[in-house]
Amino acid sequence: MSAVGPAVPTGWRLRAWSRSAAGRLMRLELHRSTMLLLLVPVALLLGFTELRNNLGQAPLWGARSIVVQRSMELVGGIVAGVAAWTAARDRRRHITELLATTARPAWVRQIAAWAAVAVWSLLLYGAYVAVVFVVTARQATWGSPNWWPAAVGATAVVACSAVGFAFGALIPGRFTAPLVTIGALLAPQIGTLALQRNQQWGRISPVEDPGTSGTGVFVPYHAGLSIVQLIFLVGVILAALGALAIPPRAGGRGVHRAGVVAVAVGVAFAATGLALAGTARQTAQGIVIPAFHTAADDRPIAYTPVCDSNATVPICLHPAYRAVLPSVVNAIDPVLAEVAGLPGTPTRVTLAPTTVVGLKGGDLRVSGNPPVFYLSPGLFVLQPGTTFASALDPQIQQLRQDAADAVIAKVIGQTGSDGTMTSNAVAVQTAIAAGIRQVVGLPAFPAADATNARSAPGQQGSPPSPAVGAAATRFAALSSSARHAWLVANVAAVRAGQLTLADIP
Amino acid sequence: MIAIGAATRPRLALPTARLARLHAAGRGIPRGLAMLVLCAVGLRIVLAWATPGSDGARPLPLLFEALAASVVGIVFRSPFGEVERVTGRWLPVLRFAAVPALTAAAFGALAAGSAGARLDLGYAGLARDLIGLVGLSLATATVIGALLCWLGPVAFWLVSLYAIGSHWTTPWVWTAHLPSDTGAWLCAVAVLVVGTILVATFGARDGLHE
Repeated sequence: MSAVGPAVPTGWRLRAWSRSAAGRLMRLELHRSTMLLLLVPVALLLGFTELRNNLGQAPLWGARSIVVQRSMELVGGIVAGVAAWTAARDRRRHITELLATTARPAWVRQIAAWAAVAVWSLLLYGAYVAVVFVVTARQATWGSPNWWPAAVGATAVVACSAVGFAFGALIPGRFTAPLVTIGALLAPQIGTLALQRNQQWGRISPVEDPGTSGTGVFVPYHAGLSIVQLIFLVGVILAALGALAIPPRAGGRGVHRAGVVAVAVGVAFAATGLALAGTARQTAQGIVIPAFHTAADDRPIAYTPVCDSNATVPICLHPAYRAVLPSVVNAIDPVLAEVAGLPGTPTRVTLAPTTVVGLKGGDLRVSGNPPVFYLSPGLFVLQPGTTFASALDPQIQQLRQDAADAVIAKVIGQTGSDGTMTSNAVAVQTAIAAGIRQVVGLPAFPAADATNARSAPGQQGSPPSPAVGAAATRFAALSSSARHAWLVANVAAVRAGQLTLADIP
Repeated sequence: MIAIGAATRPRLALPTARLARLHAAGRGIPRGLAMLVLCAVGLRIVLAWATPGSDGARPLPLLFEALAASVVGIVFRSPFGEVERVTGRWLPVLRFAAVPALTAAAFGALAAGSAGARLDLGYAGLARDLIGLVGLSLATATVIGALLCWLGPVAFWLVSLYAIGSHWTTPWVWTAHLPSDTGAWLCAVAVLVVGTILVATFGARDGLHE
């Protein structure tokens, strides 16, 4: 008597075998892929160039996420060449006929070889993105990673591998791999050139992003363009892989038919992506695709300000700029300390609500009751490729002077602006303002022209008259408490124009 | 018993024109020259886009110089393998002679391609960059393999982009310097000399799962 086990359906067995065989084929391809041998050199190249460049930027999630997408250019170029080289492997080794006798269609073998290149490339790109995001997570003080640019970058790398593989398989030759590499490095530039000629479809290029100044910090990232790029890239991948199945040697009629369908679907996707990219509009908040955009998407990003409460009055900034808060406090607090407690002194320093105008300009103003000192968000907008130090240090130096002017004007009156004032009253206001400027390390009498207005702190401009200059020097020479006490007692009279230069101690 | 005298080795004559022609044909040099013409056409097209002073004025022509250098490296691949290595006594000489000839052909093609347009660093810059890139391509062909020698020039092109943008001062990235920089010239020539010696002595390798 023989024991008979439970019957296993034939279909299940076949599927299991298929999965197992496919898995083995994939493992073999992963093991012998040229990309595996090149991972370390390409990773070193990436670290030496793109990574260094990316991490040299200010630690803002918005900026660093977007640059990750542009890095696909380097990886994509090399991956395309390696894929083309891999595709011609069987022909190079003169084993095409030998492999034609195997059970699997040539297309399946090619797909496995391509998949191995794509997997290693994605691993490389993923590791690069991971390094950028981990380092940024340790440095950034606000926000979270934006995955859209990384998704576009990863898909673009896969598309480069697919197109490179298709070229290598369909046009094999010694020069195919370098030609494909150069083509892959040039292709994204076509979009840039099209944009220079005002052709909006050029935004389909994977090195283009929808961001603008302040994206990811003050204004939201509009993912419409990323979606369109993904549609286009998926189409390119489908078309390239489908093209591999079209030649008669790729397999039977079924494979050929699948290839034609894949090419048709891929071309349709790519054409849709191009058409949608052609509808792109440049707005103050970046590039938007009307089909993927609603008015609600334009709301500025809400945030809880981060404040320095040890300053004379709370000075608050966007939390993404926590690192520069001490510099801003150093720039503004000295003048606030000089006029603390006087009528008109700001009770708080904060960023103005985000507006389109505010993002473009660097204005500041003191307004409201109680008075609030508003800094424009535009002061803190960084250009791509800049660090906090390179971009914001000059801005903060200028802020020191502009803030002093704005606060002094608000507290003691706008010197010389009131037509009803006597020249003597204007002279008193000018002398006191000059004295305060001297104390906080600014030029006492900033020149009228823009060049001299940015003179170094402490540099003396020309006084309107020797008497005003002498009064300013006297006032600056007072002790801090004496100066403050005098201001508290006399600020109303100064504003009303009731004092003379001789009254300044 | 018959005494056999020492076999006299045939005297080596200088390679004849026929041998040189066969060597060129075996390496597919005519097709390589056709590729160089294609590089020149590509350069002419990008020079129409990348006008002087624009962002692409330096990197895009340099990309075609890298491609031309890769072509020079690729034609050093031998289709005959060990048979030729064992029997071809004049191979080092032929390979040595092929380097300047192909480099000059590449320069001529690219110079012709850029005629009528303006190269950012002029013909002197083109010559220096190409010389160094060819050396790099030949060295890569010897170390990794002729068919993958394009990895060297392409990687160097990518490094050059950052060197140009970041104003690197090392002369080893010669592409980031003006043609008047002697140090950059010396480095480019040194790389060509090393590449030539390597490829002439050892030949291009059939590497990486050839």
